[in-house]
Amino acid sequence: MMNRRDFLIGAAGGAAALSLSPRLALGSPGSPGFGAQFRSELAKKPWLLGWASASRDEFDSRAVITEGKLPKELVGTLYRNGPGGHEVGGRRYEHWFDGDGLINAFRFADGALEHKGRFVETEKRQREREAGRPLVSGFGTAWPDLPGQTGPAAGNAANTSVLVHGDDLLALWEGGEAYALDPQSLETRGKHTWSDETADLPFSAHPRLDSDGVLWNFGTAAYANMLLIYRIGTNGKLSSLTPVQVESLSFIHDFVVTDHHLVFMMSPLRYDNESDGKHFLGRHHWRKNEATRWLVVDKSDFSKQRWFESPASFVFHFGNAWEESGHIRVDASMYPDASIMFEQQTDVMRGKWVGDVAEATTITLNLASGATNQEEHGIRREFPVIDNRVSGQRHEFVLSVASLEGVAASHPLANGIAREDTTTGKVQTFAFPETVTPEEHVFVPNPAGTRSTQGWAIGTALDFGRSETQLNVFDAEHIDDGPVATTRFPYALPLGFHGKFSAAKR
Amino acid sequence: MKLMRQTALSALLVLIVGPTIAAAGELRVKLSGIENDKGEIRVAVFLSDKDFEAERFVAKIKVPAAAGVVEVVFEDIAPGVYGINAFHDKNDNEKLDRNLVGIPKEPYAFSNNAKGNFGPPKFEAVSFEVTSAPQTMEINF
Repeated sequence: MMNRRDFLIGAAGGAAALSLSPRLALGSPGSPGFGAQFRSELAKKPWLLGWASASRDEFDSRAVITEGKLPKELVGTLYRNGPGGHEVGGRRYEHWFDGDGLINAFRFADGALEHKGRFVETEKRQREREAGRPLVSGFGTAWPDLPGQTGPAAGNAANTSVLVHGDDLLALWEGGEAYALDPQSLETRGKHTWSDETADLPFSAHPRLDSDGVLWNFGTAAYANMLLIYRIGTNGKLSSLTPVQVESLSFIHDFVVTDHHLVFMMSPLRYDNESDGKHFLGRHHWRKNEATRWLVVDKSDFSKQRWFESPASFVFHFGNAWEESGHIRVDASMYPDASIMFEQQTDVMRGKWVGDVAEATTITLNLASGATNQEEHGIRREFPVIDNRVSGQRHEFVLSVASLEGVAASHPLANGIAREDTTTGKVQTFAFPETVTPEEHVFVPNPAGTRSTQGWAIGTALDFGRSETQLNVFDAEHIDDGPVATTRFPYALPLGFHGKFSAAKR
Repeated sequence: MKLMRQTALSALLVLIVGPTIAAAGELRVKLSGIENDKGEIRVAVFLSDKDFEAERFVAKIKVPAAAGVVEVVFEDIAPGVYGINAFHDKNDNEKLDRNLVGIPKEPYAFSNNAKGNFGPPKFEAVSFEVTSAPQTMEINF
């Protein structure tokens, strides 16, 4: 009798399975029908362009058109990362998080803007290019004709975020090491190994800079129920790597750092060691009847740990956290559950809609009583970003990609940029034209500014109507005035994840 | 001494397998894809997932590593169902070195060339039958 796995292998193999069950066969990763289904949907829904693979392997562009005026004080580079190749050997990944990392560098100098884009030459990418086919399953895709994974690091796509570190630009993933690139040429230098001990260890895409210049990061080895805590000193070197054993570790994408604590939110999306899931995500289960746990670790003594509980919820990204009057306050973009991981980000790869964005929420952990509280801000937004100079302190504003209501749109994606003022509570928004969907916008302080809030919000957006990626510069204090400059590139880039601005002249 | 222990274990196995005993066979293991000649290749035969986890082996052999292919022969393996694990102990410290989170740092392989899935492969994937006739298991690192 044919079991499901055998069937999937059959589906990947050809037409025989298609006649048995078109839906399942089309939905199988790597089957010829899967990519065809996406292309067919793309023809009907132009907004899906953001999930098409990059149109070329390298981008170099100087000849660009700018509407408005790029501020001459704005000097430096916005580096962004995201999955740029959604197919390997003509077979399409099943999950948005699996494609090879494409680094885009947008350089501001002398009132002009240049773009360079290069893929991270990971071991995986090099081996698969040579073979002309997938050789390893991904974070959320299990190729049915390949064996399971020996460990998550094998699928390192280096596709999630970036970090400018010394003379290196690091392309960050989360299940394995970062890759180092030349910040100027974007040539891949190789894996960035902090010490002999850290080879192939998980290193998250969301390190946090402390007010004293220390860089904190974590890695999750779910299969070992182990949380790794990295402390990178101001000299840029690893000063400690500490394993913390956690019972039934949850999926963790981001964390926050305050004056005294490291804060890890553990939603009830738990790793299951007994699972026979063939990709990393598939070995997790949403335990809807369980609470979200919060692990609060004392920065000066990791053995001092406290646990808090709040209602079940899921978070990819935190804006920030800070301590005041015996409380830790955490800014998050919160989802009621993890369906975005399992359904929406898989559906979009086959041409269906992704779902709603998260609710801006402040979670309060009462350090005295152990109680928790959460309050929604009344805005739906993702990719929350603050002024990194106040990371771990109370921030004055949050920039984010927002889903604005009451705005006509020809697509179901986020359609605006928001600025929440945490002092006045005022929310400024800018709604993009209906064929444009924005990506993460970062804050760049104005070096000539006299107020801490002076600077720019800069980020990319995909104009799927014109098949163009654009880069917008906003006055960060006046988001609702719209961009002060919009630069258009003569090509569309796949939608990416995170970026960082480096003020260095390169 | 080690050889004696191997023999003793084989003898023990004969007792365990008791009723199904036929003449013991020769099990040749051909290991290919060896990176270099540093250290030793360690090969072990086991009976179940639990035994593999507890490192309870019915027989073990070590031979000096050689780039390319190495062959080892287990004599007197009683007919039965077994799994084989091999690893390249490059630094000759008699163990499979692992990183902080438990992922092996030295090359390893299993019978049937079975691959693990976020852990070692299950016994059902690595297992094969040994009869009284001589046989060869080819394993590629």
